[in-house]
Amino acid sequence: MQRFPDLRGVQSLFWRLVAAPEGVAAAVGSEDLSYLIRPDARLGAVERLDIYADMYFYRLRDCLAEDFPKLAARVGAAHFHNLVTDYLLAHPPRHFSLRELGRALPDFTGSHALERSFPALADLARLEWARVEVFDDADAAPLCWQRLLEGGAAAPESFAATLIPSARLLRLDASVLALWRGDPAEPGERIGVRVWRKGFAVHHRSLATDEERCLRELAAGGVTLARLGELVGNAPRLAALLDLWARDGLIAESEARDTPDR
Amino acid sequence: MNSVPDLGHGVGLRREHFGRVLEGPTRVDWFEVISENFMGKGGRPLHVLERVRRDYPVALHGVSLSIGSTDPLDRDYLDRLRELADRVEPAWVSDHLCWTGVGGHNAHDLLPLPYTEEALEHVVARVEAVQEHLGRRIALENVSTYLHFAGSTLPEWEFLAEVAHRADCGILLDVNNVYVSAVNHGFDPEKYLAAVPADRVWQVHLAGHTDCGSHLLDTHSRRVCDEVWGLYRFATRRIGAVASLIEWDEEIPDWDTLEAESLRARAVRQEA
Repeated sequence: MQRFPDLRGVQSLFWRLVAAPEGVAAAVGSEDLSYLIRPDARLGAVERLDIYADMYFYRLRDCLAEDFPKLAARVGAAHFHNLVTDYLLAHPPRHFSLRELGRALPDFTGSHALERSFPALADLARLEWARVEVFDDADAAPLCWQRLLEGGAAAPESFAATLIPSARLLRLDASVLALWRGDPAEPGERIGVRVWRKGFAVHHRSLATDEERCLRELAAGGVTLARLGELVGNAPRLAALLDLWARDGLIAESEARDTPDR
Repeated sequence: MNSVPDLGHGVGLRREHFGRVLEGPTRVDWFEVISENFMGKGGRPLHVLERVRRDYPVALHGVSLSIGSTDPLDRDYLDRLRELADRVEPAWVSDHLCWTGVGGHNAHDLLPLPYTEEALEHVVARVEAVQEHLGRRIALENVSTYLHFAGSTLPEWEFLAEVAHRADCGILLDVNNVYVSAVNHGFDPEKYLAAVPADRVWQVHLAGHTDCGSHLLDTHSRRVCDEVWGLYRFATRRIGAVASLIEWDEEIPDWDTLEAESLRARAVRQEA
């Protein structure tokens, strides 16, 4: 009989067996594990390892289903189960937080065979992941309309703003917004989408071209109102956008940055 | 005599009850939170935690310390935990006597250790390093296990007591886990509880489990069963008044049901 391994050996073997995509029994094969695990009349070594293997997979699958509920609903339980199996094989969890588990799932979905059966699936996952990210991103004091008016009127060349930390700008297939609501939709053009947290609630919406242009500069931080005016080229339109961003809590005051590339 | 306060009878704070707890008042004495769920940079979780902390004692309970792993300690994790502890000023910080991953992987599960002298020395050295890093002592919880390593040379209760003694740390005694492991491995749970050093026990966990026929599974998905209440009574007579906490993580009930479990813990301790 083999000798009981050292601690490193025990853990490496245990991990290999419980994370084996083919299942514990297949991974063990004909090996006698009695040198490692004490069997009893109720359960053998493989059955006992299977308890851990099940807990490993189903905990992670449930976590991903919680973070990507629309993706899971779109493909159905069986496809989602297989997607997660493939994903965990390619991207076994490494971070201490389960929150990070799905970080690579959107790109992985894009390269998965399911993307051919369910167009825009990866983009749907990108939208869901952005919503996960902003949920507990850093807080910021958003600019209110009153402060925008005062600051903008007093010093449009130096009064500057930035996108709040809990906001993301995405480029997605236009059908994703309907798919997210559970409505049928055919793939379409690529559009800008913003995802942000207002208070504790996460929102998303599509972007007009000029709004996206402004928000991408604001994401780099320190954009003056004068610069935003240049980008929009239309004072009433800029006022409307500032009003919208103030109501959405989307921008915060910041120092103006140097803009040598302008 | 214990060096930590008896916080009374609490429950694990879960997202489903955020609104009810903030609305207040409640009849629980304190809350335990899962550390990793509050390591974000902002948003509702931290807001709720700070509000709760204003009104109640809070303990941080982690699931990712991986104190028994042969991988290096995760310094980023420890930094984040220290930062959270500085912010929350918890009554104490706890995690599990187990490992959660190896080779850079994380199973996000509480995996069993072989109870050997090698594992004992390994864990003790890491507990000391963690306590040094955090600038505070920690408590370690016994986990439910579903297998017994052939190379184990110590019973689990001796391993737990020895870790606590050598590393000078506390014990979070999970009575349900003692019961689950006792059934799964066929030992006497009262023998386990009788061997735990009373002066090291900072806190008790109580939870429900699921009977899978061939074994019990620690699911935290139902009320505490009568056998576990009986063991809690037995443990209380031995270790005296230490903080108790109800864990309920799956099929989470309404607040009143959860609170009632905590009140039952209070009543059982008073009887004992």
